[in-house]
Amino acid sequence: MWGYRNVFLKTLRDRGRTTLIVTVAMFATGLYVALLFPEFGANASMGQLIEQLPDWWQDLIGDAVQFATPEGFFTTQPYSFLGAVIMIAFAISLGQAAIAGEEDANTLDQLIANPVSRSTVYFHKALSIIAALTFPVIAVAMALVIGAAVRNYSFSYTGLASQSVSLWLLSLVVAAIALAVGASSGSKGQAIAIAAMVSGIGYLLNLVAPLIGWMEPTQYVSVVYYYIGGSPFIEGLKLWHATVLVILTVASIGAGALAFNRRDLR
Amino acid sequence: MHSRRVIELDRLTKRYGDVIGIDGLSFTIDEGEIFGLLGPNGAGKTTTVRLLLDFIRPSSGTATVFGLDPRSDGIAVRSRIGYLPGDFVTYDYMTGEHVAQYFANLRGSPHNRFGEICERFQLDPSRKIKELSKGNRQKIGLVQAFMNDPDLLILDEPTSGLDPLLQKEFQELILSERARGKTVLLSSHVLSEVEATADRVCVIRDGRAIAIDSVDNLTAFNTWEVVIQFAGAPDLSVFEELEHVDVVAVDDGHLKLQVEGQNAIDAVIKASARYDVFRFESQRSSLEDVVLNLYVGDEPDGKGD
Repeated sequence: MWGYRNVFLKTLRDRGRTTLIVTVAMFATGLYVALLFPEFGANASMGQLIEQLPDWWQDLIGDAVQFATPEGFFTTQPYSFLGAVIMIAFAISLGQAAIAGEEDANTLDQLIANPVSRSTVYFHKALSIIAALTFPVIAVAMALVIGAAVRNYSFSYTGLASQSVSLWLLSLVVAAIALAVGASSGSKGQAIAIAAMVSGIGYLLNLVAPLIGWMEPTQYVSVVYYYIGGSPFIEGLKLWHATVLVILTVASIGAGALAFNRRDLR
Repeated sequence: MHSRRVIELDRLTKRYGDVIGIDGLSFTIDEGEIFGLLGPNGAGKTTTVRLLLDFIRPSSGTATVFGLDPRSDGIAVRSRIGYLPGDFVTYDYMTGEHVAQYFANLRGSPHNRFGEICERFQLDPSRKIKELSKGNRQKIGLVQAFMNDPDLLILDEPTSGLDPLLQKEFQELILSERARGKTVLLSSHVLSEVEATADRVCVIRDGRAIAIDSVDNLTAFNTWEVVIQFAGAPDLSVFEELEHVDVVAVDDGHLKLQVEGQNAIDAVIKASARYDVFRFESQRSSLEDVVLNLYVGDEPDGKGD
């Protein structure tokens, strides 16, 4: 049976149902947003309404200009809110389950008793997470394309690709942190708490820091800033933003692997 | 056949902060041997097993398996080990068959004995593990430990949850494995099982070995309870003067003695022969009595491998 051939495939299979649910949810979210854009985003009265809101409110929900174009509208929804939150939650769930989850369920001993190295187990798990996170990112992008085609409007596919890569990289960072913390501590709780903290604080900093002068530099410590701060859908993927996310992912996975190899299993 | 060393522990120590898991444990196990690891809960048996499998790392001392370091040569070591943990837990959403298939794939070797061992333990491997009773789950653990025909079996409480018939089946299985030259490290609370199968045992208490010897030797220096019924009342002083013999009870021709060691038994028989004896019964205390005494008693003088 294909799903039991190695740790990578088994982990992917184990997470199959959750991955499918998240993928469907992301597709539905994307489709909903794309189908509604002509009524909400392109609607002039909606733009006027937004322009009357205070600046900070406009910053939070996206300004009127953003709402008027598909690229701006999609940046706000699904990519700044629902889509990002779903992906962050899914990434944390995958990351904490990989090593800490097996340890918590008392199945890790049995797995490692086989002639496989800890590194093999760890990297197979990491690869399965990377693969699982790909499906919902593609699903939401496809939904936007389909929704736009149904409602007969167009947008930048380059922007969509940039935004998709950016979302995928954000989810990789969060999952890598949960994986690494779980692998180095053996604690699901710690993995969830730290990954959620990094994401939550990052989210808040990215929203609030630009509104308060002295806080502005703090947005650079937010992972969410490197995800959406450069508006990749509108302005394209900023190489250095993507590089930061890649480095954080690789560093987290690497640190987790080292710690996992060195410690006693619980 | 020249026997080769399979496991060698040299002053192996594991500390968890201030808590000692095992403390300077040294013993060897040779090829074709069944070696019992005995001790009360928390004595260090599972810690020892987990060190051999590289789940945890020693604080000091060394352990080798097949002459290799479990850490640096972990894959080579574990490719020759079949392992059953004390509290066997596996992926309960999978069937026994799929668990076996998965582990066989990870081992990269065929699980030729899967069907045979399933049949031996009357296990239906097609059912999901979460649907199985504790005993049947344990059978899955046994099957996956034996299915790749490993050279070394490390079995922690292997018959937990099995009925007496299957416990007997298990004993026969490991004895037949020994006959095929396989080595077994058996950690168990069922001392009768260890007595029936093990060649040697190590008794651990508080992380330290307090006795390492063959089962025969450990029980040879054990006590016998001897009950003799004489035709008439014997001269008690004859028995009281014997070394390592205690008169426990006397009742109208019945004599109950506590006898330590084989030499003392011989002396009791010779002393009894002076009188007319109607009945002579002796019962040697089991490995269980010896081990239980060791658990609670002082450390014996003689320690050895």
